Amino acid sequence: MEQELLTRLESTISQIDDYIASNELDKAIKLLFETIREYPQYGKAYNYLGWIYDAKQRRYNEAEILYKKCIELMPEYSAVYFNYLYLLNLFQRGEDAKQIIDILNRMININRYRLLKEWAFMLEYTGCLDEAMSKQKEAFLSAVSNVEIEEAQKDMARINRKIIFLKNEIQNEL
Amino acid sequence: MFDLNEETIAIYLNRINRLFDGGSINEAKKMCFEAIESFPDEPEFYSILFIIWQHYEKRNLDSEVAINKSLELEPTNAGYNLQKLFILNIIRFPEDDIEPLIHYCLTLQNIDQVRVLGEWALWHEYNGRFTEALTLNKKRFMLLSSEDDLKRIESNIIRLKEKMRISNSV
Repeated sequence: MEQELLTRLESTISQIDDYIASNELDKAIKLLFETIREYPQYGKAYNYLGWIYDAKQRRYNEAEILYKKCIELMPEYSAVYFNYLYLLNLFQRGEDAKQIIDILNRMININRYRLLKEWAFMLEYTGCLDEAMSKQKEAFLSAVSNVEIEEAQKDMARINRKIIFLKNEIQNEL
Repeated sequence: MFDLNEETIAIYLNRINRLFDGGSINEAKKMCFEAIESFPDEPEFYSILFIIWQHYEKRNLDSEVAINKSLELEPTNAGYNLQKLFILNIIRFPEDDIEPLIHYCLTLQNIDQVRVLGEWALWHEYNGRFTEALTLNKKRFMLLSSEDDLKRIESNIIRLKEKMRISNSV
């Protein structure tokens, strides 16, 4: 895409960001559809529409199609992988989540804490509790705000609770 | 997927959700019917009607009709199948064998497994199969991430163990 057009599309996305921030989703949806119809090769628009379908309308199958379309058009755009990873983790799709984690893990300039947190959760719900705990500790160490620190502590406490639960279950069976 | 119809459907859904969030359930219902008139083949609107009739108006039989319509239009949708499972558990159990639907649900992509396992556990419990219900609740425990949900499952586990103890002593 030409630089001038890209700049214009980036400014459209920034307008959409503003609409979403002020909860004017009708306007955001209209602008996204217009953009996609006019510039179907512009990947970011699919990610934004996917996020609205996913987070605001619970239309997860449609959202997944849109995330995949964005990845196809813009494979270097990390935000879409994060959105897709949240969706996969929401439905405990560990195998698919692992593939997205591998891609994100090879990327630079990403939010390391968010990646490690989702990674730890994937390990947790797939039953790898010890690995989940050590990944969660990595997340804790990469946290840069008090909110993240508290979040990571809660997650570690939860994993620990599950480890204890499992140990008790095993002891009860013996 | 990106034509004007899809855009209008997305905007309808957004407006209905906003009415829901603001607690205007009757308005949401009105808009839902308006949307169905324009888009009778869009399954999402019947699924919203299911929520209104089941959750807010306790019209369980009507809500089953609504979710059957969604499923007729999109049989493999995870959310609709889960809603069907939920309503069957409310209005039909313990007579119905819902296990085929449960197994089908667990094969679907983007399904809330914790809720499916929860419905399955409840069905077993109401039918007096406490061991099966307990096993399923333990599975749910390992999948959860929210503190409130974990507490709820722990209390389910305690309740089921107590039921098992009493039924063994009878």
